Amino acid sequence: MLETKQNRSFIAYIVMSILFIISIIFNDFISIVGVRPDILLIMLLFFAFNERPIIVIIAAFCFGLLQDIFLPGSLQYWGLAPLFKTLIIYILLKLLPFIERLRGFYFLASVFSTILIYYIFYNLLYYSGYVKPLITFYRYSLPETAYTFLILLVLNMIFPLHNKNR
Amino acid sequence: MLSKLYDFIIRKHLEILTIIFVGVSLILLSQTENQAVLRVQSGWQDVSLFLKKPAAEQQHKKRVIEENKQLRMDIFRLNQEVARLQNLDTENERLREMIGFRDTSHYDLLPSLIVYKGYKNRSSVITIDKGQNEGILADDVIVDKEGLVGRILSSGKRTSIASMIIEPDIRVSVRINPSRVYGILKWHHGNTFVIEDIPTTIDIKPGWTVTTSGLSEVYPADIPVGVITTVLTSENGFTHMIEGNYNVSFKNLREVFILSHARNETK
Repeated sequence: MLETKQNRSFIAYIVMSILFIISIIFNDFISIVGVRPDILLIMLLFFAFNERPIIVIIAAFCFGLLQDIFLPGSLQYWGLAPLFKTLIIYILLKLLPFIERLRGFYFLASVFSTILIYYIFYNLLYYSGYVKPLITFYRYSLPETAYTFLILLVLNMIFPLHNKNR
Repeated sequence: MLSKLYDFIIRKHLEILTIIFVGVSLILLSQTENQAVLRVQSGWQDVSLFLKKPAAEQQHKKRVIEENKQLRMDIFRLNQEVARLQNLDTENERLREMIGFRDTSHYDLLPSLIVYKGYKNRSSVITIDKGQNEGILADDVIVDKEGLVGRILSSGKRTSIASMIIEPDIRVSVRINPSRVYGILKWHHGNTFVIEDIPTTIDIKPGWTVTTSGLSEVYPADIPVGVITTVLTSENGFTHMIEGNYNVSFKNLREVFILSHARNETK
């Protein structure tokens, strides 16, 4: 049983790694009117529910660095992705005991909120100074959260985030 | 004492790691144009070029077909224009020789395809498919048929990472024509720029053009940058607040030309 669970996690990570590589190479192709999903954030959420906290927090920082190196966006903001990925995953790990008790819709709503909070703060800084916060929210944060969450939902059907919520 | 410290580290290892990572991230945020990061990025772009290039070319192809239709119409009009300009060029050459003026406007331009346009919309970092193998080096200038685009930040063997002038931190030394007043241009928002600190005693009008001044070590003179749209007086009452639009449509860029300092010096 344990072996099967480990195998499933391993396959899930491989699938997500492939998705990440595809998202790096075909960055423009996977965008829908300029909105792109964050595969690394999905991977981190899977890590958070299945791995030890210390591994998850290291992965959050490293994935943020990977994003800034392989998907550079603006010169000013190198370090923004590791900063917010580390912080959001730290908060998620602290709230994990409560989130793990939730079922079905409430569990997914909490995951959606985590992604949304990450995007709100990330985009608020990324577009600060030239896009108004409210416009940043509905033009970037909300669509990017929806796109990322949609991919997470599909993956969740094959590789459940959390065993109790299968 | 040591055992207490050890216990503390064991108990709070997650918090300690988070603080360290947040600190490192903040240091990275303060390092604009970090050369180590640029080298890693250039290396990665070199490796992934063989996959990215076909994807970018496919996307480019659709656009080229549309442009082709438009260009055919333009060719006829331009041929007429060329004939007229050839006459003027001959006359100009003769006049230049007469006044001993050196022609500085002929640059060797290398066409290049944009293979990566940044992680998000409004990104100012692009990757192009030409690198050190073609003689491209850092600080080479990127232009489009409409005007100035930016400069090379770092070049790998087969690709280069470039920064466009729509970066908040970037300033460009420019000249306003026809008044020939020098100023410092900075990005404002969208496709607009702003030039400040020009005294109100100098007459500036909307519709006047902005070109590079040639005072900078990076950008040569007379590369078109944009057109002035609004001239306001700043709060102090002594200087103009000049707004304008860039000539280049940065959002729709698919290919650029590289004005390589090394290539032009060799030439």
